[in-house]
Amino acid sequence: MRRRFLRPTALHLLLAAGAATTLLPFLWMVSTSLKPESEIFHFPPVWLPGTWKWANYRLAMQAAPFGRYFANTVVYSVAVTASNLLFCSMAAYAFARLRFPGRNVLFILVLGTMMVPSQVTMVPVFVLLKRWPLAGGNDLMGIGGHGLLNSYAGLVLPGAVGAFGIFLLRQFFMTLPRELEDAARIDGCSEAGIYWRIILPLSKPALATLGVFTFTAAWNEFLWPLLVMSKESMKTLQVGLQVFQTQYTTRWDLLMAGTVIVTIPVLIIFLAGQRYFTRGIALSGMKG
Amino acid sequence: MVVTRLAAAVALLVATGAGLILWGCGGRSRPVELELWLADFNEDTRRLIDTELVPRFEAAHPGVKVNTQYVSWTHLDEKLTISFAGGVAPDVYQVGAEYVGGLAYRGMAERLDERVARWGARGDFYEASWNTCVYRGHVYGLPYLSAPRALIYRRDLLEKAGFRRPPDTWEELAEAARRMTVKRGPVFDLAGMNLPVTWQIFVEFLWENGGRIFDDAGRHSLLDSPEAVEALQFYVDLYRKYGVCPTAGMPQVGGSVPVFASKKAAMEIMNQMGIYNVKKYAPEMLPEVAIAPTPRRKRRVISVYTDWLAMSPQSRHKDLAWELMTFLMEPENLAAYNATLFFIPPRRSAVEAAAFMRNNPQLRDFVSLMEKYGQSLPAIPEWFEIRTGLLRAVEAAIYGTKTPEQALRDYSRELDELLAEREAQE
Amino acid sequence: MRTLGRALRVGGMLAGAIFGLARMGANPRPRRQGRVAARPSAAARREARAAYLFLSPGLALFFVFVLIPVAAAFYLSLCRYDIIHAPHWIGLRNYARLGRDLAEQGVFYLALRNTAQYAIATIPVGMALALGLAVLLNAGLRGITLYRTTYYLPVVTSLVAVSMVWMWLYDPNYGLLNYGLELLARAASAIVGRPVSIPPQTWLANPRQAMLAIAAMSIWKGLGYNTVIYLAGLQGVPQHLYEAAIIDGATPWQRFRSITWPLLKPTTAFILVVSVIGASQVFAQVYVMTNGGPNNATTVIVHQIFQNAFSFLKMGYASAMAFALFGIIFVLSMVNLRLLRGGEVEYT
Repeated sequence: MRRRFLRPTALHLLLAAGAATTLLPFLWMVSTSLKPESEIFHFPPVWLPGTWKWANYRLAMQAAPFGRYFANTVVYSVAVTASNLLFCSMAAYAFARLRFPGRNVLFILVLGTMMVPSQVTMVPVFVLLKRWPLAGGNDLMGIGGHGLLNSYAGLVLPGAVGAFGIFLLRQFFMTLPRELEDAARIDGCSEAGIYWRIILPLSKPALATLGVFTFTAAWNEFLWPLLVMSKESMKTLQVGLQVFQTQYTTRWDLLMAGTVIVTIPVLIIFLAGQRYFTRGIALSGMKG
Repeated sequence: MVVTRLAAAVALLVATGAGLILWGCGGRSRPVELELWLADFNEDTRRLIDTELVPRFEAAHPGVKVNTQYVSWTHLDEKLTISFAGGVAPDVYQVGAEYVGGLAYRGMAERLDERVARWGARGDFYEASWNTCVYRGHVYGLPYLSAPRALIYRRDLLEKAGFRRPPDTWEELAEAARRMTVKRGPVFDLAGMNLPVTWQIFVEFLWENGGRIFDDAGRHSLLDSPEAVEALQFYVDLYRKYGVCPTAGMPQVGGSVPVFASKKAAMEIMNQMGIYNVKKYAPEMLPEVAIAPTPRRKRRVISVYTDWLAMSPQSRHKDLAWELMTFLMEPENLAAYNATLFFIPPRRSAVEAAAFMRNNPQLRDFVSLMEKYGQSLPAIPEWFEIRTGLLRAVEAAIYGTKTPEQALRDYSRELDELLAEREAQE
Repeated sequence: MRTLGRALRVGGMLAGAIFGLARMGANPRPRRQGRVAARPSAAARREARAAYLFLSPGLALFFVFVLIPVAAAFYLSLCRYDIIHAPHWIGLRNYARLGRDLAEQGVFYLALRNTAQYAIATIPVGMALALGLAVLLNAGLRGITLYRTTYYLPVVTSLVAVSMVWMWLYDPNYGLLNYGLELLARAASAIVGRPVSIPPQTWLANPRQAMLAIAAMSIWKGLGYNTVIYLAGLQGVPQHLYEAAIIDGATPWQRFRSITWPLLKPTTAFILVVSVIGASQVFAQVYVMTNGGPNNATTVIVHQIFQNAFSFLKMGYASAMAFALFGIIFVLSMVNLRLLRGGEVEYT
C-alpha cells in the first residue's frame, strides 16, 4: 500500500524538477522579450522586468513583413510534412513488408544518404534547381531563367522525401504483428488495401511522431531557405528573424519576442499531434 | 488489374511532376532588374536605401528596378558562393576588406580599370581605402565604407597615471596600460587596455615593427622573421608580463555594451565605432576620450579596413550596374550611407559633405590619421584561410600552448604550403 | 552553371548505376519466416511489382533530389572545385591530404576528435535520460500532456535561437549559470559556516569546457525528441505482459529489464543510429556559439566542411571530408544495427 502511495508523488516530483530545469532558458527568453533594452544586461540577473514592455512584440512584428514570412513558412512546412508522411510511409511499407530483389541494398542506400552531411549536397541541389527545365524562364535545356529558385517548389522538393522518415516508419512497421495482414491477404485484399486500411491506422503514433518532427524541422529550417530565396517576399520566418541582428549589435529584446512568436505555431502542432503518441493499440489479445 | 494500376500510378506521377514544374514556373519577362546586396546595414540604412536612394535611381532610369538584399555578414559567404555556383550572382554586391584577392583570382569580380579611368574620380579617394579594391594592379571595385583603427584612450585616466601625452612607442604603451590597470586579486576592475585576441591586432604590431606578412610577390610568408616574433611576443607580454587585460577578455555580452564604453578599460585600439559606442552608452565620458595614432616601434601605421562594392562578371547589365555603383558613390549619397552606420566615407569630397563628420572632432582625427599613415591588408586570394590559421597561431601563443616563435614558425610553414598550392595551379 | 553541369551528369550516371545494381542485388534474407511457407513465383512477382509501385513516387523524388546530388558531391570529392572554374579531376589527392592531416594531427584530426568527444558526451547520457523520461511519462499520471509539452519545448524552438540564449546563459559575467554557481557558493557557505567560493567559469571561452558546454546544451535540446520516439516505441509493448509480470511478483526493475528493454530494441537501434548520425553532423550550435574556437577546441567535422566549402572555396576537399565522415558513420551504423538486431521476441 505504501509503495503505491509513494510512487505517483515521487514521480511528479521528479518530472516537475526536470520540467523546471528544461523551462529555465525559456523563462529567460520570455523574460528578456518583455524587458526594455536597458534592463537586459544586468548582474545579478533580473527575472521580472521592471516595466513590462509588451510593445516589444508589436515592434518585432513590424520590423519586417512577418505576415508574408508566416504564409511562406506555413506553405513550406505543411507541404514538406504532407509529402513526407505520404511518400515515406509508402516506401517504408515496401521495405518492411514486401519482398523484392535488391530490398536490402536499396534500404542501405537510403540509409547511407542520411550519413552524408547536407552541406556538401547544397551546391549540387542549388544548381539542379536553377537548371530545372521549363521552370522560372528556363528552356528545355534549363538555361535562361532562374529555374525553381525563389519558388515554393524549390524550397519544398529537396526535402519532400527524407531518409529519416523512411527509416523511422520502416522500423515501426516491422514491429506490427503480421497476423492481421496475413489474414487480409488471404481474404484477397490488395497490398494497397492493406497499406491503407490496416497498416496506416495502426501506425498513428509513428505517423504523428514523424509528422510533428518533420513539421518542426521544416519550420525551424534556416540555411536552405536563406540560400534558395533572394526575394524579400519569399523569405521564411527564421530567415526573417535575422533582421534583428546586425554586424555590431543584436536587438535581444525584439529578437526574443520574435522567437517566442515564431515558436507558438509549432507548439500548437505538437499539442495537436501528441494526443496520438500514447494512443493505445487494441492488441491485448496479440502476442509480440 | 495490375496494368490499370500501373497506368494509374504512372499517370499520377506524370501529373505530379508536371504540376510541380508548372508550380515552379512563373518567370515572365520583367523590367530590367538589378540585384544589389548590402552587408552593412541597420534600420536607418534600410530606410535610406529603400525610401530615398533606390527610388531616386529608379526614377532616373525608367524601366529599371533595383532589388536590394540585406545579407548579414555571418551568411554572406554562403550566399555569395552558392549564387555564383548557380549562376545567379547579384549585379552589385558589398564585400569586406579581405575579399579582393579571392574574388579577383576566381573571376567573381569584374575588372573596372577602364570604367574608373573614364569616371575620373579616383584621385578623390583615400589611398588606403582605394588599395583595398586593387589586386595585382587592377581595380575590382569601389570603396564604400572605411574604418581606420587608432588608439582610443581616456585622457583623465592617462593623466592620473602620469602621462601628459598619449603613449607613442610600444614601451610607453605597455607602461601606460600597466599603470592604469586596477585589479582586485585575480579580478580586473579596470583593464589598462582592452585587448581581445585577434589576428588584426597582431598584424598591426607586426607592421609597427617594420615586419610584413608576405614578400613582395605574395608567394612566401615572412611570418617567421624576427620582427614577427617580436611583435607576437609583445602581444603575449601585454597579457603575461604587463598584465593589462585578462586573456579571456573583459566583460562584454553579445556585443551590446562594449568594454571601453562601459568604463572597464582605459584604452583600446579600435576603429571609429569606439567613438560611436561611447556616444551611445556613455556620452558623459566623451569629452575625456581622445584619439592618438597607434604606437610605433619602427614605423607608424594605421590599419584601415574598408568595405567595398564589386560588380559580378555574370551580370547581364554591366553598364547599368556601373551606374548604380557610381550613383551610390556620389559624395552626398556616400556621406548619407556612411552616416547611418558611423563609418568614414572613403572619398574626400564625401567627408566634406558629411555633417556628422564636421560635427565630430574625433572623427576628423581618424580621417587625418587615415590620410597620413593608412595601410590596408595586402591583397591575397587565400585571406579566409589565412586569417583562420593566423588566429590559431596567435591563440596558441597567447594561451601558452606554443611559444611565439614556435607558433609563427609552424604557421609560416603552413602558409608557404598554401601559397605554393596556388602557384602550382597557375 | 556549365561548370557544375558535368558533375551533375556524372552524378546522375553514378546514381543510376547504383540504383540498377541495387535492384539486381542479392535476394533478401528472410527476416522472419511468416506462417505461410515459400510462396509461388507468380505471387512473388506480384509482390515485387506492388513494392515498386509503392516505392516509385518517393524514390523518384529521393533519386532526383538526394541521390544524384550525393553522387555529384562524391564526384566533386575527386576533383578540385572552387565553384567558379570547372571541376578539375585530381583523383584521390583530397583523400590523401586528409590522411596526411590525420597523421600530422592537423585541423581535420582536431575536428574528428572534437566530434567524437561530442558524440560520447551526448549520446549515452541523452539516450538514457530519454528512456527514463519516456518510461516515467508512460506511467499514466495526470497532467501528462503538460509535462510532455514542457519537455518537447526545446525541440520545437529553432536551434539558432536556442544557441543564442545558451550563449548568454554561459556568459562569464552576466550569465545565469555563473550566477547559479554564486548562489550555490553562498548556500554552501551558510551550511558549512565558513566562506566557500566557486569561481565564475569561462565556459565557452575555456578551451577545456567549451565542448562540454555545447554538449550539455545539445542534450537539453534533444531530450524531448528521443523521448517522443521512445514513447512511440513503448506503445508497442503489450500491456498484458506487464500485468502478467506483476501477478508473478516482478519488481519494476525486473519488469523493465525483461519486458521493456528487449521489446524496445528496434526503437533503441533506431535512436542510436539516428543519434550517431546527428552527433557526427553537429554544426549549427558550434557555428553560432563558438565558431570552432577557442583555439580550435570546438571545431567539428561539418564546421570544417562548411568553412572549406563556402569560405575557402575548396569544395572538392570539403566533399572529401564529407565522404570520409560518411565512411566512419556508415561503419558505426552497420555495427549498431547488427548489435541491436531483433525485436521479435516470443513470449509464452
